[in-house]
Amino acid sequence: MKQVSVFNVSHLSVVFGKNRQRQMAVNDVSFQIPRGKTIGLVGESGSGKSTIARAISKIGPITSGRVNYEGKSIEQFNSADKRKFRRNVQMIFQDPFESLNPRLKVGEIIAEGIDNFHLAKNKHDRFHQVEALLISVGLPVDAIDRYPHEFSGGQRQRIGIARALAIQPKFLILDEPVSALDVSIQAQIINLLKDIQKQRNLTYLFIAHDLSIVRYISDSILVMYKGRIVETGPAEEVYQHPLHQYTRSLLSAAPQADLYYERRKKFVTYDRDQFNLTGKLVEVEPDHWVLQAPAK
Amino acid sequence: MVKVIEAKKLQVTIQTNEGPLYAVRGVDLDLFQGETLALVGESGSGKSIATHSLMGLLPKNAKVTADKLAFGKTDLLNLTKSQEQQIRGAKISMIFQDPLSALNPTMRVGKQIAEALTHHQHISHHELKQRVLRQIKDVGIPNPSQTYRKYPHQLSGGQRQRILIAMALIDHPEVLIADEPTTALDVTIQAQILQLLKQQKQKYGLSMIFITHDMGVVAAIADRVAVMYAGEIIEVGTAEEIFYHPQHPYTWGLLEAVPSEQNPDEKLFTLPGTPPDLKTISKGDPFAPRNPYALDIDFEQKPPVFQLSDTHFVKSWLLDKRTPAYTPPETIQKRWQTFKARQRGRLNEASISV
Repeated sequence: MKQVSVFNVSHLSVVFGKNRQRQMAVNDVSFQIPRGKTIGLVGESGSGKSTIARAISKIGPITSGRVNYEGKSIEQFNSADKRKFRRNVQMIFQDPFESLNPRLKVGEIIAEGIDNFHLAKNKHDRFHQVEALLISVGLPVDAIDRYPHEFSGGQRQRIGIARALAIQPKFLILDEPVSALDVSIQAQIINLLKDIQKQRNLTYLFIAHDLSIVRYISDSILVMYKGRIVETGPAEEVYQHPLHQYTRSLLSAAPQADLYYERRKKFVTYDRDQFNLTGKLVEVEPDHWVLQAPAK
Repeated sequence: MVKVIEAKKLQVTIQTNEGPLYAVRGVDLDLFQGETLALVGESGSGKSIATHSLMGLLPKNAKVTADKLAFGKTDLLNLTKSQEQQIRGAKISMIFQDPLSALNPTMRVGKQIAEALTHHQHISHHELKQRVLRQIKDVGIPNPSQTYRKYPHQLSGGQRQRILIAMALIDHPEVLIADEPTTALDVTIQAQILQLLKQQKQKYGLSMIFITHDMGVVAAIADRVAVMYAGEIIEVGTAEEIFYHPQHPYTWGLLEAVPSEQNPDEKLFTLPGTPPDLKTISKGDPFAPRNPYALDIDFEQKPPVFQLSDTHFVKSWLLDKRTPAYTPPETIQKRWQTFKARQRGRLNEASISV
């Protein structure tokens, strides 16, 4: 059976600034996100990963290329399409301290979306929906009447997830959802996201700067550097057999909880001046692509 | 070995509107000359507050008591004004998690580094500038004279952290306290900063306390490890002992939370629940409610300290003789096997050399 793509991105470029200030934040990027799967988007700060997330979620600009959502270009949406898109595509941010309104009680934060999209039949139903959401993300029900500052970082990220789920989306963009959390809490959130995906048949775009985290949740991985995709393939393939020198350097930089490994470890260095923006993606193994410099 | 820092029964209590917060609850901590001690724990375990008490960085409503809190021979609990100036910031220096908020946004970084030098008023302008330029170069920033004139916002996160390290080290301190200096950075930049800290430590014979929640980072930098939970050190040992012979279930949890070669189809191991509320003092072990290995006694009585070697101390009832047999998680058992194999290897080596 042919896989259905939720998103189909082809030759996407995003340029900021003009003339001498001109910056190619995203440079000719193409990929698909199949339904029910998770795509991991990895790269360092400034590699363009958040710009992609913003472009495909219609909150950031697109300079050229096409982004299709369920077969229709997101730039040609009519108002009904837009409304549907806003409901189906939700975003979860890195900083659970800044993305929640400090003046609203948690119950109200979660219920905002339910009200906006008229998803509750009555007050009673609204309350029950919020309650069910809190339970599904592992928060106590009495959280409804408390404020965000009363919760720890991991709990706030759970509130953010409950808020996103409130309007029953089909697609979640997770922009470094665990980077600001303690390692022990990161694992809890990753497990929660995996469970929710299974229960609700969601599709994820998961953004992070650390390959070892992305590997756990992703079916396939895109590695970005300076606005370009340098390597893409099935998660386990990219993790076990990285082909691009940059991917290797990224992998070797992530510290492991293993003393002897860390003491013996030789860092893979990547010569940043060597990077050739004009290279082409070449399929080296089935579905495993790597950026290669053009022959001289 | 020479102790540069010694704390005995260190307690920090913070008075808040909702009553006292028992942030540090009787910590014994030694820092030996030339070592890197990693202080590990989740947010709210008291690891930052314990070290801030060394720097005098606690808020006014915090009360510090200890049987002993000393830097070398100097008592840190009763410092005179002039002693304080000589020690804090000069002999004991500190770097923080977020370099952007630790730097003055309206001042060029060169000038900020110059101001960190305690006797900066007493040397000529030219000499001062040369000293700062040397320092910028020393922390691995190319073209120091350009960087000298830049403002913090014009630098990347990694470079800002380098500037902060330059500031912290310009006075040639004996002790550096690094409070999660790489948590806000990308993995690649994190690796570079860890490398820089190791190199500077070697070069100047620094002793370092490194605060983190990431056992991966600990493996990269530590000689010795102290694990904190709810304001107490629950396990302390050499890096080898903590990584390959860990005894406390909380340490197990921290080790297992770092993703490794484990099968991605399996669930990541997590410690259930959240860190405890520091406003209440529980009757038993504060970790008991989250501890899958908790015994009845854990809820009744605080565990004493069990000693496993000259360097390895654990606060857990699991080590009591009366405790029934238990099996630690599989990955921890593997770590124990590595430890045993290593020890056997070492014994053999010793017998051969005899």
